[in-house]
Amino acid sequence: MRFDETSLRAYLDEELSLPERAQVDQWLAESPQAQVVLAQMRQTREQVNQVLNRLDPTAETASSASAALGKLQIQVGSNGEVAALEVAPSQPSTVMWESPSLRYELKTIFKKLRKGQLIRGVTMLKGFALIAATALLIITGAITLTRIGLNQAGSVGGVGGAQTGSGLPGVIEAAATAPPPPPPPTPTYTPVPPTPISATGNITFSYGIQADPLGDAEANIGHIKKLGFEWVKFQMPWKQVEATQGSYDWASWDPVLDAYAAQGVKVMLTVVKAPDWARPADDDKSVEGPPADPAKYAEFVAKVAERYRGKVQAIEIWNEQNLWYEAGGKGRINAADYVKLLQLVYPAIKAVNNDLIVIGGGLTPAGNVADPQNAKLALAVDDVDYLKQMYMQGVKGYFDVLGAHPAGYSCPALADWRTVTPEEASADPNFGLFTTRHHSWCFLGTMEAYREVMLANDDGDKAIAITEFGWGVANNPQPGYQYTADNTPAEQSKWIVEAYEWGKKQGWVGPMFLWNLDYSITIPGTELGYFSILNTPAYDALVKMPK
Amino acid sequence: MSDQTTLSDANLLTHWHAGEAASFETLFLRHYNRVYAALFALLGHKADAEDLAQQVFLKLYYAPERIQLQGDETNVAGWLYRVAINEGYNALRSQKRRWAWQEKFAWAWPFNSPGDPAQQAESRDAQARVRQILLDMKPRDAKLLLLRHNGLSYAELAAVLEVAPGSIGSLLTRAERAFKEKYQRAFPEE
Repeated sequence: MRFDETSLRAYLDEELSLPERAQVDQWLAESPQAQVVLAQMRQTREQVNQVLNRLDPTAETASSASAALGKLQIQVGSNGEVAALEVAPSQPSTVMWESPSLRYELKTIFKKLRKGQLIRGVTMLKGFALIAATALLIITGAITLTRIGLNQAGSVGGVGGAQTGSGLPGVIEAAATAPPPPPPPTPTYTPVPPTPISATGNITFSYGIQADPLGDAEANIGHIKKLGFEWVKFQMPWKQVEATQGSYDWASWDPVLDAYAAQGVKVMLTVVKAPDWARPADDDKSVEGPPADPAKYAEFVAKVAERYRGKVQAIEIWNEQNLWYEAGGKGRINAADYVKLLQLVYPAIKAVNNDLIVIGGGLTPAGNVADPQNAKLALAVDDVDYLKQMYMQGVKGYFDVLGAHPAGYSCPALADWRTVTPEEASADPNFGLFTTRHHSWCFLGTMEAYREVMLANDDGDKAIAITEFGWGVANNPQPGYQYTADNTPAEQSKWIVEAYEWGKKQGWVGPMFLWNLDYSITIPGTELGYFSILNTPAYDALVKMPK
Repeated sequence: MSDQTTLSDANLLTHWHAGEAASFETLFLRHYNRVYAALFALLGHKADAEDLAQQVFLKLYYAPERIQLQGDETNVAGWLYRVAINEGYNALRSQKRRWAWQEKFAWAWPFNSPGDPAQQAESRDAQARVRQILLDMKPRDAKLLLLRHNGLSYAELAAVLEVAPGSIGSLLTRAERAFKEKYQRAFPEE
């Protein structure tokens, strides 16, 4: 063996066989000069590696091998041929200045600069003035608590189980009745060859309302028919159906969906809330979150799509994923991950049920809000920003309709968030919109903003389905819902009708699902009931409203 | 059926040639993280690195015969990383111009969690410096450093660079010296 730089380096890198290593050991023992050279090599190697470490993926930029494999398997299909569906590029076009989203962004930025308006991103990145920070803290509390209210009670529970409200602090989840049986062997997910994307195209306007799946199905069907509506929406917690991996409890859902189907009511399911077994080990299990492997979610949703063919006509993929408590915890909101989820789910659904409408998960209107305790952790991402990020990450082509939750608070349905006054809204001048102008406070502002983003991304032929909207009314509202005391039953009635009438006229609004029908009955005494229309003037107005 | 994870790359490739889909999956899962890490080091962008990594494995999927079966000498990893690093360099050339625009307008659309803008900028700068030096080096030397940093053995490196395994040691030492000198000259304050 030659004793030189090459062998010394191989020795340092442990690339020598044992006999070769022993020879170098002997050489080193006899040669101080070789020891010096070795020490210099070691030092240089460590210095260079320290610098190269900066290029290593971090926790945020790490990639999941299993997710990547799933994506590849879907691409190639079971017959070995590349699927007709091509993965959209994750970047804008190669030449950045040709990107329609950047042109739109530049136009919007310069327009706002000319008008002297602050840009959300600049406000955030340049730091907050004390007043703005205080306002944002107030907004944080209001938005967080209000969004909890606008969310459906999360855990449907088993049939006959206790009804709970997920996301509400201090609410006790439905108690487990018995230890779960040992899980069956995990079935191997066999990717189904994707079929060409269905021509669902632009989904037309229609009337819908969200109901409690544990409510009185026959009564609710009667109400829906009386209202002249076509659709009902339910939220299906994945964790409730597949609490144990590979074991599915459809018992709560089969009779409900059978009942609605038998009466010709179309059903939209929002599938959300991953079971713990599917979630990342390090996320916050005290809130809802997505799975570690999006392929697991795709597998589950495909099962739903296949099982309920003909009974479920639309599935919304996730819900309010721009909020921390739907994203698995503070600082975990990630539009890129959501797009990857959709990119797996969409072809998985189409492969088994080509006609089922896939709805991109409705975001929550919000500003950019960070945890007051740790500014690095996002509690909410501005929904318009998030939507733009979705397009930049390649979401186009992976939903049939975009979902939206244009909340109304105490802002009239047709009011412009930029100019409406407290007097016009008969609202508290010291709350929300009237202290910090932002689109998230008003129904119309959110819808218009989303439409602009879609047009800017050449996706204007797709409709927006309003999968949640409404105005709450309460005499003594719970903390965080004080704005519902500003709204009268007459205003609730008027604004809901105006919202439907507005939606019908636009040509780009799909089904609209009012939040909600019957939670004042099924979960009385909760803030969900503030928005229920049973036994309210709004119900009567909707019955009379021309369809 | 034997436990696939104990089979060598060469054996897995043979099984894949014979039509066993599970062998491809094992190969994929065995090498994906390092392929991705190497591409990420070059490109610094997760989505781009993932897309390119997919393309690399798709090439393997559709044309495994590209890797000449040479019994136990078959170097699947060498082939994979050679393709990956070449794809990475090609992508880098087309991306440099686009990045200039993204950096300029990064403030207009915050990505993911807000984080500390100053810290993010500092991190981006630190990475950019490293990439600048790597791109300034002879490609063979830069590839050697990146791939060794991502854990490739001498045999795998030799297959990637198409040199004799016995020469890797000295090539690596010289590449590290060159990197260190260039870096210290360019950024003496560090």
